[in-house]
Amino acid sequence: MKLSNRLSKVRRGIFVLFFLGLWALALGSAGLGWGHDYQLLALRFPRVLAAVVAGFALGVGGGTQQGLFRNPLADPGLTGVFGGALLGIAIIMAGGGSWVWEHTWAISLAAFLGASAISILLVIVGGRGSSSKLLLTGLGLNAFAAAGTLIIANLFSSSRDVLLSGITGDWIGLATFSSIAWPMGLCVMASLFLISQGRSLDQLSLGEDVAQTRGLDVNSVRRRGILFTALAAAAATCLVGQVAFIGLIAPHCARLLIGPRHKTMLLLSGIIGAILLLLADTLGRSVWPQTPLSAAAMTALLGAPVFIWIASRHHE
Amino acid sequence: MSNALIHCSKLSVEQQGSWILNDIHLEVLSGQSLGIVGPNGAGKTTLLRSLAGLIPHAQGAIRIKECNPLKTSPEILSEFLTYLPQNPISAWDFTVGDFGELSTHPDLYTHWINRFKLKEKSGSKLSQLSGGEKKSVHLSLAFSVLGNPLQKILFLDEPTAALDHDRADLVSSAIKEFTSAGAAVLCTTHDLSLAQSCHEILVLEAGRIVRKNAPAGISTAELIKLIGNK
Repeated sequence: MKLSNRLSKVRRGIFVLFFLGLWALALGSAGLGWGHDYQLLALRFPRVLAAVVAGFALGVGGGTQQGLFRNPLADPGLTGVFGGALLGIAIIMAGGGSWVWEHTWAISLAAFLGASAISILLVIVGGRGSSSKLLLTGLGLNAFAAAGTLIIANLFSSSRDVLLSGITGDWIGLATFSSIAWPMGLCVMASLFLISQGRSLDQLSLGEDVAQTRGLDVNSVRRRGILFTALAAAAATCLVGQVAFIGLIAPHCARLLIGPRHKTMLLLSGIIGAILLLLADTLGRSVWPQTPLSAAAMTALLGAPVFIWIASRHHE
Repeated sequence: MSNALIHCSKLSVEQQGSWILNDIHLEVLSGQSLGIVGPNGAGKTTLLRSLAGLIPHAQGAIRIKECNPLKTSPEILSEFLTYLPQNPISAWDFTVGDFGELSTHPDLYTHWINRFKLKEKSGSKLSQLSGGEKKSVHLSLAFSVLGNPLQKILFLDEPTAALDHDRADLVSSAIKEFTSAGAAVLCTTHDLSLAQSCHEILVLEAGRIVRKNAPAGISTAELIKLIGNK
């Protein structure tokens, strides 16, 4: 597919996202008339912005992780990276107390350290070998991280509610301009860096030996990719909590639409991720306004069948 | 100093306590091709990967165009070296046409795709191709990345495996074209006619060189036995 065709699909994606964003701003338990309630707009705008930026980072991060592991079933949620980010947040909330709420950058840092630790373990234990080894390792690490987070939530009652709503992807409802500034900046920076690595990921798809003889420093590409994916996933976790499946579905859709060249595929995957998360959050809060459904539940509802479909088509 | 593009001496590789390669000496000059034959497990692929700088713990002296491949950045090596593994892979389902975008010379890729008679498949996905067609696509990529073959080096691991007779012949012709233009080619093979079309044949057995001759010095019957096809 020609580059111009690929870019035209990316433009169409941006167009859809823009109108979806307007719809999401207008929709809610209280209706929003144009030119009326600016206060309501100021409340909803950070939430929409958080969903778009986090979804974008998850789409790009998922696509990168799949490229690094050459595995279409990789996803930061399934491989435990979100779990690691949450565990990092749980640890700093338990240890930092009220200091943490005055220094919100520390939450992003702790999430990044947790996500990086899990990513490094994932590479050491399950990075080489079959898809099932990678996913089983991720499953184990995720369970371990979730157990750690739950134990901390139990021991420190002051942070229990916050952590539990993070596990269910409910932090998006708490979004304010001041709380999302740090993680949003990190999401954008990490995503743009990962998109810039597209050509390296293309060469990596030929296997490590061939990629190296094509001039790629395979180890440093893997290191950079893993750290910046951890950063994107950690910052997205700070924005919305734990939301699985976006990082799995978005790259898959992007590859179906414009082929596997990573630079444009990651860009479109980010846009599709943003569309999916914004759609999931908007539907979740508007379908049953009295008992809103979290974005994580909505994405799992849509994502789990897609995951099963991809897994059934995947051959080792 | 010789003008060898590929040179190694006392090359040995140990893996899990056993010697996969033992005390290998060889030289390939510009304009020459060397066919490596031997039974399965003789160390042919390990030899190719060591020379391409893909085995960090390889011992001995390796010079590829006067560079030690283990101490030279992959970026510099890629300017004059291409490597095709025995079973090349692509993690993602590119179309034959789009796959050429991974080459540094997409025009040369198209040239080789045409010569492998795959022009009409340029819109097909790799998953829709037969094993031999897929191998031809990877060969086209490997052949195209070097640009002008003068003073370039090709490492080809079983390049004709899975290919039909015509395409296998094309690979032999391509190797002759590359060497005529000043490249050095090293290929492992179980294909009798490919081995006989090389300038020299090296026989590997249990990690050691047991023989090195021009093809005329080894009878066909003997070569069949040495290749491992009794």
